[in-house]
Amino acid sequence: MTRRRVSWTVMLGIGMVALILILAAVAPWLAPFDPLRMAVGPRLAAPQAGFWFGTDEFGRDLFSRVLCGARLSIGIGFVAITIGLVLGGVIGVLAAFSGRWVQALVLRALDVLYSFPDTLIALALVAFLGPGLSNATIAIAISLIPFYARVTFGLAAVERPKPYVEAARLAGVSHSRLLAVHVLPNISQTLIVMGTLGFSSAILSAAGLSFLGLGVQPPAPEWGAILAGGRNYLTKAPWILLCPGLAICLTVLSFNLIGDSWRDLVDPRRRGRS
Amino acid sequence: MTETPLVALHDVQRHFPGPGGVVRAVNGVSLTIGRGQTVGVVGESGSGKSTLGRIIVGLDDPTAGRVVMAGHDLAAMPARARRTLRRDVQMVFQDPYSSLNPRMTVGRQVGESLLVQGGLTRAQIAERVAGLFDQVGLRPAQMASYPHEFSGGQRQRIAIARAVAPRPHLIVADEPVSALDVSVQAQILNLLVDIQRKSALSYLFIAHDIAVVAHVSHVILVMHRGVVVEYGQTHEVMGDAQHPYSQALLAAVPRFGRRRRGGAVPEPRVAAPRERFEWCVRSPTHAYRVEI
Repeated sequence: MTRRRVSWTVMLGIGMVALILILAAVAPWLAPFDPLRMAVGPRLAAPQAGFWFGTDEFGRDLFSRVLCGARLSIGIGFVAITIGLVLGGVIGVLAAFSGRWVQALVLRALDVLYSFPDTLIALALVAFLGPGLSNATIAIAISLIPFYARVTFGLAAVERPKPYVEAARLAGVSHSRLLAVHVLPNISQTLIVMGTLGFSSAILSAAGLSFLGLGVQPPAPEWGAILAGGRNYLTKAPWILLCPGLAICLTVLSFNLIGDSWRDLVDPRRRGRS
Repeated sequence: MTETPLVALHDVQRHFPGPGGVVRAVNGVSLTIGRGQTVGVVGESGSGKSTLGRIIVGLDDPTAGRVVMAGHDLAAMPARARRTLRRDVQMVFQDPYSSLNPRMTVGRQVGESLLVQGGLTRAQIAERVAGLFDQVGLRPAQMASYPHEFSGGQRQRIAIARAVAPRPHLIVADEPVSALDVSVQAQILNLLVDIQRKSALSYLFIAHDIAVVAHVSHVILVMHRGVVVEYGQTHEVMGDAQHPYSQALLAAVPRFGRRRRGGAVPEPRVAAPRERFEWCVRSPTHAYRVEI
């Protein structure tokens, strides 16, 4: 294979994601203050030397809070997307390789769920499970299942009639082995790309739930929760909203950059266009 | 009395629901395949020859009729016993590109039937796979490679090795050479004949080119619109085809030093699958059958 020229958007995306992940990893050591400690500075102080992002209504250092919040937001996104992708993938592959009636039933059920916005499903689930970090994560994961099940179904249904699948059947391969050893490796690459693209929406959902007070509870420095806390001070201290908002924005953007260009690499129909 | 045939089909039907009614892809086919015998199936696209092959390997089930394998009626058997019996029938597909899993080493693919069958250690399987590679004209060192590293002809050799691995009694070869270069076709045909000579297996050899089929087959079966229009020993069919459709197929074979006999025989033509074809109904050879 010839070496493909890597576009600058991929490099930018990879660079930004790497930076964000490193920052999130070393946040506790990098943060100048304890993100939960109040009155480390004046209340609602504007960004300045010492308090780079300013302070919030309790005099907590926003830079430390946004930095440490990265762990929570990215962590929720990662766990939710993994659960959603795995469960959705299993449902999708099983449906694609099942009989006509089961398939129709599963697909119609997914269609119904898919017609609701992800966030709405997540909201309903949190209302049912109760607010909190882990419940919000579970809710977001479940809300992602219909999408990933649908995508996986489409990919697996393409593989099903291929002769190599039939040849494996003739070799006496069991149903589960057929799916795990033959079908899955052939669709996994596309699934991982879809996961990367979905990562940003999971982070957004997490921030959204926390903003509504249904996700991570105060005083934990999740980005959505910081936004929620700062919304009353929009006019007096806009930096409380601006800084976590920018963090969300940049994280989502950089993951989308990677996902998009990765998809272009994997999808042969998109190859050559850029 | 003769010994029980390896496979016997009795009035097998396979219908597909189509947009404008039922398509009778296979419409009442009876045939027998003896041990060590090659039965060639010829017909144009849509004649039902591939569907017939898929029914025999068990990738498709007949709508009606009986498939009898080594004396056992498949429909009447429990699923488990059916699966064991099915292992004796393997298949070589037309397209050597899509018939191999692009994400698995070719050695693993060839040895997979042995692995899932159980009873052999990994070392024993690797040894057998190496032997199979040798048999089909590949180097055992190539076992660790992936399909994209091979040419079409090599891939078909791998596919043949995979089909031979579980030591089947019958291999259904569905147009095994039509996707290959002409120069490679003969090599693959010779390989198939060679394997048959060594292991006494039977073939159901499906192709649209009657010359290719005649080259390897003991018995030839000409299909048209899901119906067998000619069934006989190869030399009989090639020398004295009864049915006008078979005659048309034979006339279509290009030969050195022979001009096409324009107008003497009807041209094989492609018609819509559901169109009634006069020959099938009119011809007395519909029921023509040979006991082997």
